[in-house]
Amino acid sequence: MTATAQPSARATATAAAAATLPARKPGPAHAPKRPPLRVVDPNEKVKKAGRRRAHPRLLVAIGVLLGAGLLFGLVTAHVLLTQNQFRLQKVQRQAAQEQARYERLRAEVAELESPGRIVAAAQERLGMVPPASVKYLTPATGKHGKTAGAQPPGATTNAGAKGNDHDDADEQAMSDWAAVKRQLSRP
Amino acid sequence: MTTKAPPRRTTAGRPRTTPQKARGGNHPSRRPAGTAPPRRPQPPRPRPRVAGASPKHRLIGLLAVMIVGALLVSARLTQVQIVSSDRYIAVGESQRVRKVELPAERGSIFDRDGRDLALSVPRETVIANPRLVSDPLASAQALAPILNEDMAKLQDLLSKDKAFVYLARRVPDDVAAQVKALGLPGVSFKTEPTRILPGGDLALSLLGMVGTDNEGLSGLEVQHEKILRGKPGYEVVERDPAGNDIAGGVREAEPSVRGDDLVLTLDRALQYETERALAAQIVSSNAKGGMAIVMHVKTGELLAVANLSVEEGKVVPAQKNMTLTNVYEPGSVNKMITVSAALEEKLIEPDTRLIVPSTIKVADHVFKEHDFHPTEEWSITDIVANSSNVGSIMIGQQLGKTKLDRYMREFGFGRKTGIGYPGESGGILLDPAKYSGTSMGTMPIGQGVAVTAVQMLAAYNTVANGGVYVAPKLVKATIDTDGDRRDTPPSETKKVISAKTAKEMTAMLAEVIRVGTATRAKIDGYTVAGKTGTARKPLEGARGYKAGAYVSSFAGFVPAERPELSAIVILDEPTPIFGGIVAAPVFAQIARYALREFRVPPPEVPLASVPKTSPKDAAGVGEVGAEDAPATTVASNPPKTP
Repeated sequence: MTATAQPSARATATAAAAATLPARKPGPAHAPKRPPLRVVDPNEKVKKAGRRRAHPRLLVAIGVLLGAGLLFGLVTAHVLLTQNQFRLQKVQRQAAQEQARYERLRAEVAELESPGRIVAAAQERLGMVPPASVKYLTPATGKHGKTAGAQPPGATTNAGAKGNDHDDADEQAMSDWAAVKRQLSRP
Repeated sequence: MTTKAPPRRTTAGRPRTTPQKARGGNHPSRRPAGTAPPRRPQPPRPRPRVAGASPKHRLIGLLAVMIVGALLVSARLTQVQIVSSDRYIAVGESQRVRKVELPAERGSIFDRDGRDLALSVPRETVIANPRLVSDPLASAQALAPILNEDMAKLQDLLSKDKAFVYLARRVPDDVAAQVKALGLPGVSFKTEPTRILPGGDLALSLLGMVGTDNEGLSGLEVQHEKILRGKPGYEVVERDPAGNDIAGGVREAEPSVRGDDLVLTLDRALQYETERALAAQIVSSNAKGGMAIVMHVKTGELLAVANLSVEEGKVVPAQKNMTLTNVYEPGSVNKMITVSAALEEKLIEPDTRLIVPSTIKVADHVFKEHDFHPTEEWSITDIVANSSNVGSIMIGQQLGKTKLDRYMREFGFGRKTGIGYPGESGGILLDPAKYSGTSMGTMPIGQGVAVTAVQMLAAYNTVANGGVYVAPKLVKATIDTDGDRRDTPPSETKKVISAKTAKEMTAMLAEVIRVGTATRAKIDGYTVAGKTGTARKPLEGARGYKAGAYVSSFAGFVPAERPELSAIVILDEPTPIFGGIVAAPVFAQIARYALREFRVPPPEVPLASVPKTSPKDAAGVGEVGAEDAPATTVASNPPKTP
């Protein structure tokens, strides 16, 4: 299409449109009069258009930047959220594992503390035996090692109540010790 | 107009026609008449046109197809998004939203010092999704030796058309680790709490069992289910197909609440020693089983409750807590109540002397002493120390059936103890109005009445506690999840006999140990008070007694001067049969340990004296129930144990 052909084509199109389109209704009588048409100076037109377009471009650029920033922010936030979610899951798993470990260790301690295990270990590993008899001593009133005190009727203790002989008591105690701690009294 | 499109031809290497040309708008045959010819000549058409397939028609056809397609899509969208939206939302959620139940950890059971008797620990359960198992046989072969399961059974489980099966529940940690190491497809794990008894079988009959779903099945576990169970929680999470939580997805959580802990009155070490001593005696006396209980005199707290039976030649924990659920005829231990009642009613004094023959006729039946003796004048202390059947019947006759019955009930017979243990028996005590002629011959010597071991111990504890009955107690406190401890209220008490009567009775019971039928219950340094019993065993489901079968027992307390601990030991069909020989030594062994454990010092003030028993009268084993005693209602209708 050339510049010279343009006016005639426009005129043809305008004529065709006028032929096909219904005639416009005349405006109301009291409608304000339009200013008379004039030829617009191309330079003026360009200048005005340039001034009008400068603003939208800036706004679009800012909008695009903002949009991109927002989008990037959203993506970043989502990535962080996801990362933290995985971290949370990991920490929760770890906490559950540690809690389970604590419970297992607690059960293990309870089993190690059970009387059955302790007695078995004492008798089988350490050679301990239950005491054949129990002797009750009351606080000494004299020199160290002497015992004295009231014993109930029928008491058959061999230290203190039945006699205050220090040597006899010691000898008896050593004898009892040897009976209880057999493994220690072996030559 | 046809909507058929012309055969497709490639346009590569050929200049593209303008849209106007492509539509064929200038074809002579299609140009309407009277229209102006084209301004420029058109190039010749490269290919022939198919008749009836003009571009316009194809365009309309294509548009129609698109419209129909769009309508279909719209309709489907409407159906999915509007009409059936709820269903599709639900389907979508079901694929990604999971509601995971969080089981509540069961509360622990502690002894009186906070030592674990039962606790829950998490264990791995091996589960599988058979639909994801590619080779059930190979997986079963790999798992069978680790899980110690039958391979065919595992293969069968792994071949099922299900999404979930249990392969092995609550496996040990090392087993779980081995299964994890296999990395089998479709095999995974689930953590479940498991009940652990650190002491093994210690107090098992009393504590009871817990089921596979962590619910109490028997014993204290079921009695205190509400306290121990806790409250299960749940968690709603959105998960991706890999099982990871979706960030920002739906998340709703109601955490589970752990059950409260239960603090018992038991002492773990004493419980062990009690069971050990009882088990040793069961073995040495070839008994069928036995029971032993230790009680704190002032508080009524049960410090040890042992229940053992013999199965396949081995001493094992009894199936249930017999001390509260089973009843037995107490025999001579019941004479304490007869004598205490007569003392309280001031019918006798400890030094009252009775002419005691070797036999006595009650109604139409003759009751005999176990060991013949000539008719002699015996003090009440002699009668108690020798466990005289005839002397006790004479005292019972003085007392009368109404008062005897009243005192037996006052001492706690014929009703439950208030512990609330599942299946607890209240014992069997006849209404005095229904006594037969011989009842006043059997009741004073502990026949024709059935009690639980705890009831009989509580009766002896009443004497030890200066005549005040203290209800037995098993739970000391509860501890909630915040660690707040709530002690249970003290046991109910009631005055049964006066302190004076209790002291006199204590002194007479001490004679039983000093020179009477229970010299084997002696503890060096302490004065023991108690009474032996050797009662015949009723037939099960029939009238009469089982030949040669006896229940031997000893009930007592120590120190007699200032009682701190009471205990009872009962052996089922031991050999020899005498309570003074088989039960009394076990009492001494248990009490000796308990005195040391609870740091009870020997008393400094000797026991107030009562008229001593003449040594020649203390036969030692005279407590055996009348061999030919008539079968009573209790004997003919043995109590049914739950």
